[in-house]
Amino acid sequence: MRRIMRKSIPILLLLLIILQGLASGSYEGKVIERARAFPSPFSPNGDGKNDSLFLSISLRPSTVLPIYSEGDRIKLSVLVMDLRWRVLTSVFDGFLLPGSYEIKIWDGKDREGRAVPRGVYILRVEARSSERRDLLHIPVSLVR
Amino acid sequence: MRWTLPILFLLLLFSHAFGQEIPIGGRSAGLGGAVVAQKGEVGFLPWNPAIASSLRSPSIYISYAGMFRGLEGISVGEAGFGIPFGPAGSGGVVLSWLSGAGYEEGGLITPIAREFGPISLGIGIRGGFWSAKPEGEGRFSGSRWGLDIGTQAKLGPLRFGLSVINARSTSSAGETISPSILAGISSMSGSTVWEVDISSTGDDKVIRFGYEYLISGEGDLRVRAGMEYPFKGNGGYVSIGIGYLSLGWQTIDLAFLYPFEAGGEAIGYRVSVGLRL
Repeated sequence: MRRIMRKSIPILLLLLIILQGLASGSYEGKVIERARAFPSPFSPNGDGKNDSLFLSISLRPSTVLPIYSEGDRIKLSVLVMDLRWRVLTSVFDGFLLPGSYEIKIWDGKDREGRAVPRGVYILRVEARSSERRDLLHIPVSLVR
Repeated sequence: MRWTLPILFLLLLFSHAFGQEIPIGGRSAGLGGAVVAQKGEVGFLPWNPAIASSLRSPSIYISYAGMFRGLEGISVGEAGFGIPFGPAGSGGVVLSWLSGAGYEEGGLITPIAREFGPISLGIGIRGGFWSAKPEGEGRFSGSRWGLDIGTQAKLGPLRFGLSVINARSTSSAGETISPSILAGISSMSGSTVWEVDISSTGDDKVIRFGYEYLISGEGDLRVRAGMEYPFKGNGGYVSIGIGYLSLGWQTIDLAFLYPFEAGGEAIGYRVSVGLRL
């Protein structure tokens, strides 16, 4: 029995690591107050329903600089990656002031204009201000 | 022997699976997916059906791939078993599933293989079903199937592997499924295992490295590291993992993945449990 208990210790440690991992991760960040991609699944097949993916995002103002000063601009970049972490395309790369936005962000094509296959994809959203940086990932799915 | 043909028939009859080159197993992920020339594990079967030929005892296996940093909703896993048939060869079944963001996909892979001296030959059928329902629209669903072929050859401590995943394939939705060609060389000697693979699927060409070191005797505790790196474009990841063989018949493997595009943060883990019967 003692041997079995001793042998089980590494397994219990691994389970603890897994639980710690599951507890981590959040959509709330220092620069990004809230972010959501919709609709998911979306279906870019040209039928007028769910043809594009939208990003709803709220960016926090700086805690140091005066609100909406030029230095408070936030650089937002959004990439689409597949489940093997390959970047398929860049769908947004620009500056925004703090506030809430709803951006039409992806039409289901890669950087060369080819339609990507159905499946689950990852939006890699990075927001960077002069003093802070946030990186988050949002899962989305696409069907045709 | 008398059960061999009925078992093979059932394996082919119920064969469905999705074909993504995503390492799901804890050991295969820890080796960076460089497993096409490895041997003897059910979790390696999706990469090369010829690996089934080196299954020496019945074994079952389950693996779960979880993610964090906002991706907790994506769930990927696989479970399977392998059976040596004696002189007729060996076979296995691997069930896999993918769920997340309103999308579901799953299926089975059914490899069978046989050794002919230092050469192993394997064949497998994979197929899959997928389903998703966008808001305000009807349900989208479909199926696909593919034929895998593979071989391995032993030469001293070296083992060579070659497989073609989805060598022949079809999809109910009319999708184009490109075959994946995987080739690798591995060495298993002393307390170290290493492998180098190259893989080509359409324009997607990657090189994979895996290294494993046995820390304690009799196969108890192993540490490993791996990497997938694309020949062009971006993507890829580094992985680290550990494996533990407990009581001589149960294994647990854990790996963490660090994609290059994720800012150096671990973004997923793989955990597998296997039992040798």
